[in-house]
Amino acid sequence: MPMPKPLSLPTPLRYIVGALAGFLGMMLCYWVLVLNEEPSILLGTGLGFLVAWLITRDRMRSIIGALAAVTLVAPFFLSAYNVTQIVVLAIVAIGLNIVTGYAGQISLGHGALVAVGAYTTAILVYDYAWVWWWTIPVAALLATGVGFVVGLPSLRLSGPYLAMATLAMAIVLPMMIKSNKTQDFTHGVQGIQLESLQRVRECHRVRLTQDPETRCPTRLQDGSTVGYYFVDAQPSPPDFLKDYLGPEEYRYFVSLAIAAVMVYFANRLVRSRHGRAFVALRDSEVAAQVMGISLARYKTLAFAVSAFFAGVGGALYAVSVGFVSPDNFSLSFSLAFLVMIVLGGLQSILGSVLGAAIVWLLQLNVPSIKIEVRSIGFYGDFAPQIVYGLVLILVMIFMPHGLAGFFYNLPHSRFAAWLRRITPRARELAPATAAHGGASASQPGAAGGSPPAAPGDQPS
Amino acid sequence: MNVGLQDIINGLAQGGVYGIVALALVLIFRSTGIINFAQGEMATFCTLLAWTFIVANGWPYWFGFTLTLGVAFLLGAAVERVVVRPVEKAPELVIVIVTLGLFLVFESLSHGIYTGPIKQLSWPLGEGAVRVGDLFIGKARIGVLVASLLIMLLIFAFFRYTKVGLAMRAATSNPNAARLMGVSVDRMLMLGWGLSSMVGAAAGIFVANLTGLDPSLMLGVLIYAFAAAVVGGLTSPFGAVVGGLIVGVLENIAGATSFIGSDLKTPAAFLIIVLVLLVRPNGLFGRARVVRV
Repeated sequence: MPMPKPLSLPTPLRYIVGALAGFLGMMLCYWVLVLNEEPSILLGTGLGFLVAWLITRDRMRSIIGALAAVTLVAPFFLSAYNVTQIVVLAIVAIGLNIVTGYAGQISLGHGALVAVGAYTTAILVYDYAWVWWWTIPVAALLATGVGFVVGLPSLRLSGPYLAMATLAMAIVLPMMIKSNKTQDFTHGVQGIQLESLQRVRECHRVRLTQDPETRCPTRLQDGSTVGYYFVDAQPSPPDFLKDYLGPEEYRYFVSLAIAAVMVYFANRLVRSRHGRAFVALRDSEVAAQVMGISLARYKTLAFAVSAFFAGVGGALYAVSVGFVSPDNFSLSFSLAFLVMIVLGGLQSILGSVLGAAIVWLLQLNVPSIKIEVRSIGFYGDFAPQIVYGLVLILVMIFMPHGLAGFFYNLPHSRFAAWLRRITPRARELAPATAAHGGASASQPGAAGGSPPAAPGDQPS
Repeated sequence: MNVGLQDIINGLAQGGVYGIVALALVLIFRSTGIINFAQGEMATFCTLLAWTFIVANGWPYWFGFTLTLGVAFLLGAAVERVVVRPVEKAPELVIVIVTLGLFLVFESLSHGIYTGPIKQLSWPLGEGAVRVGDLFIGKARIGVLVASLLIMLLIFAFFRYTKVGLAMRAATSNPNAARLMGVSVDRMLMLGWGLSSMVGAAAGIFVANLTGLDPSLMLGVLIYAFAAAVVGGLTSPFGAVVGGLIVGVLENIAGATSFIGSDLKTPAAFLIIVLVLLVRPNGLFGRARVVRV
C-alpha cells in the first residue's frame, strides 16, 4: 500500500484536521458501526488520530486535536457530571505539575488549596449571595495567597521535610474546617449545599419574558420597576441555550472554557523565562543560583501559581458538585492529584489532563473483587482501591515517565522498531519530526536500525 | 481542665508507639532514602494477622506474637524485592507513588478480609490501672511504654553489637565500599525492609492494645509517626524515638489546654512541628546532607 505524502499545513490547520478527524471517527463508530458510547469514544479518537496523523504526520497536534474533539462530544456520550469532574481535577493537576513536575517542589497538600478555593466560593454564594462567576477570581486569589504562605517553608525545607510540611497542611485544614471554633463561618462537618439552592435577586431593569413566575414583574403598582426573581446558585444555562443544554452539560462547558484558558496560560508559562527558571532550580539549585535565578522568588512563585490553579479548580469544584464538606478534602484527595501527574507524566501538561481522566475513570469503573476459599473459610471483598493500587505500582515499574513519556517514546521503542522491521514500507511512517527518520531513509540497508535512545525531555 | 502530669504520662505512652513506628520509617529512610507510606498499612495487616492467630485460632499469645513478627519480616523483605527493587534508581516521586500504591493495596486487603466490629487484641497482662500518688496509669499504657523502650534498645543493640547490624550500617553509609568488602547491599536492603516491617507490626500490636483493632488502626498513627520522624530528623534513630515522645506529649498537652481543645489538638501539634522544621530544616537530630556540586 503506497503511503500518502504528508500534507504540509500551517500549525492551526493541523489541530483542526485532528479535531475533525477525531469527531468524524467518533460519529462513524457511533452512527455507522453502532457501537456503544464508551467504545465509540476510544475507537473513534484512535481512528481519527491515525487518519489525521497520516494526513499531517504531526503526532502531537493530531493527538491534541482528536482529544479536543473528545472534549466536545464527551458530555453527550458520557455522564456530563463525571466529565466535568475530570476537567476540574485536570486544572488542579496542571497546577500541581507546575510546582512538582517543573519546579521540583513536592506538595502533598494540594487538596487543602482546592479546599480553600471551594470553600471561598461556597461561602460567598451561600452566605453572601454572590453570583458564582464573581467568586472564581476571589477564590483563586485567596488560594494564591495561601499557596504563597505555604511556599515559604520550601525556602528552607526540601525533599521529605517539605513533603511533611505540605502533608501537615492537607491534614490540618479539614480539621480546622470541622472545628467547633470555626463552624459558624465554615458550616462545620455537615458542609455547604449549593445544589438546588436558589437565590432571590433584586431586579433593576424591566424584563419582558414569557414566564412571569420566575422573572421580574414588569412594573410595580407605584410605577417603579424594581422586582425580584430567582436564580440558581449553581451555573445554569441562559435562556437561549436551555433547549440544547441541560444544567450539567452547561456546567461542563463552562468548566471546559475556563480549563482551556488555564491550559493555554500554563503552556505559555512553562515555555517562558519563568518556566525555564523553574526547571533550572529543579535540576540544580546551586547551578540555578549561579545563573542568577532567585530561589526565594521562583520557589514561592511556583507555589503561588500552582495554588492559583488549585483555587480556580476548587471554585469550579464547588459549583459543579454543588456540595462541599471537609470530608471531601481528605488526605487521599490530595494524594490523588500526585497520582494523576505521575501517572500522566511529570512535566507534561497534556499528561496531567490524561492522568486526571484516568484516575477519575479508574475510581468510578473499577469493580470490587470478591474472593472466597471455602476450605479454609476465607472470604474477602476487596474494594476497587486494590486494583487502583496495583495499577499505580505496575505503571511506575514499567513506565516511570507516565503516559505522556510512554507516548512520546513510542516511536523510539522496541515495539516500533519491530513494527518497522516487519513492514518495510512502513519505514516511511517514521515521524517526520524525528531527525533519524530522514537518516534511515537515506540508508536503505539500515532498515529498522535501532533509533537513538529517547531523550529525557518530554513534550507538554 | 489543667495540664497535668497525667496528660504527660498518657502522651509518653502514645509517643512511645509513635516513636517505634517512626523508628521503622527511619530504618528504611536511612538505608534507601525512601519514605514508606505503606508502613502503617502493612503494620495494620500484620496486626490483623496476629488477631487471626491469637484470638480466632486461639493460639498462645506469645507464640502468635512471634509468628506475626516472622510473617511481617518476610512480608517486608518480599515487598522490597518485588516492588521496590525495580524502581530503586527512579526519581524520588516515582518511589513515593509506589509506596502510595502499596498503601492502597494493603489498606483494601485489610478492609476486605477483616470486616465487622472492632476487635480486641489485648495483652496477657490484664486490665486495670496502677495508682501512683494522685495518678492512675493504665497497665496497658505502662506495658506499651516499656515494650516500646525495649524494642528501641533491641534495635540499637542490633546495629551496635552484631555483625549484620554493622554490615547494614556499612551498606547505608557507603554502598560501593560495602560491596567491595563483600557485603551484599541488596540483601541488606531486603533485611532492612524486613526489620522495619517487623518493628511496625510490633507497634501495631501495641496500638491495638490501647485502642482496639480495626482495619484503619494505623492511619492516624502513621501520620504522627511521620511527624515524629521528621521532627527528630529522618536520619537519626535516636531522633525518631525522641520525636515520637515529643509529638505524643505535645498532642496530649494541646488537647488538654482549654483554648486549643481536643478538636484542634492535631492542627496545633502540626503547627509546632512545622515551626520546629523552619528553625531546624533537618529535624532536631538530623544531619544536613552535604552534596558536592
